[in-house]
Amino acid sequence: MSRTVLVVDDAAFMRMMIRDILSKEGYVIHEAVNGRDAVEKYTEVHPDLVTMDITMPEMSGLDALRIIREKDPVARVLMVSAMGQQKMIVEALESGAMDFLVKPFQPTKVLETVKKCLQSSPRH
Amino acid sequence: MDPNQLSALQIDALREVGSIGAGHAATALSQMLGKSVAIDVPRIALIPVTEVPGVLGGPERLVGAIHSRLLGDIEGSIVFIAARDDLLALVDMLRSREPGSTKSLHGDEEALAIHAASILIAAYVAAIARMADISLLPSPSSFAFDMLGAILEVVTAEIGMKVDSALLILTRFIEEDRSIDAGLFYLPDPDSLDVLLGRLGII
Repeated sequence: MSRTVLVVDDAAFMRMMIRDILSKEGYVIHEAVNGRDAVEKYTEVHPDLVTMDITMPEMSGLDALRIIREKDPVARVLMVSAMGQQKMIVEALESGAMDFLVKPFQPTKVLETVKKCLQSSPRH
Repeated sequence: MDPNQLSALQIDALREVGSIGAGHAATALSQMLGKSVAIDVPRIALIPVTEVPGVLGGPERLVGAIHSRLLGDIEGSIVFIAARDDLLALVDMLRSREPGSTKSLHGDEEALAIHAASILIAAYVAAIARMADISLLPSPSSFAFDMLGAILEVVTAEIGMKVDSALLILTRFIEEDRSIDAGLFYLPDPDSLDVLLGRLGII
């Protein structure tokens, strides 16, 4: 069965890029435009994985990550952000993110990391 | 390409390019400070050059500007602009001083502010180059401290009349309880927008 991925980014262009990379490999894509939307869509769709931007209006990706993980402690979330500072990465991982991709990224790196996140056991 | 003819997706792509640049500039600033630096959601727009002063607080506002030419697969000018108070706050941060300690921008302080702004420009440019997979380098920069209107006149005169739009990226960098606002604007030479959008796969 196809794996579902919720792509969260306030930039339509970035959602399109990630959707194109993943849908070619058979993933079913859902989209959310900010952290608040991500929390709502997560509850609706229950995706196998979430790719989450950090700097977004309404609600940041880090806040959305915490809420999603609180509702579903085995949620798989991969952060995808240009904010690649060590402290930010550590904060995301400590809040339950499985991995962190720094934008801009290579398509092969996205596929590799998504695959790795889906193969690993979710973090408790 | 006429910027007025850009599609919503193309404008969104340029905004994302600016946003990723701002994220990398925050990382560069955090490395200079040895501390975490957050940013608010950057305000990004492609606007006519004539509207730039209005967005940045009016032509009479006293600002420091660092200007570099961009050389490589796309060309144009890139200008980092910050109000005097924000540059003083930047020097306070870099020197680990209490807010309000730096009172003037002369000598070492001016050199430090220019150096830091040049690193931020390089971080924006490097992120844009990686995203579009192009080679792009900022030339050595020049600094001016003057009224915004005067600075823009100099920059546009240097480029000539061939540029009419600027991609403006306004970023608030936040370090604990203090912040600085900085504007970065990219004035693409003719055809450079087409090259950039082409490399991003949306032309």
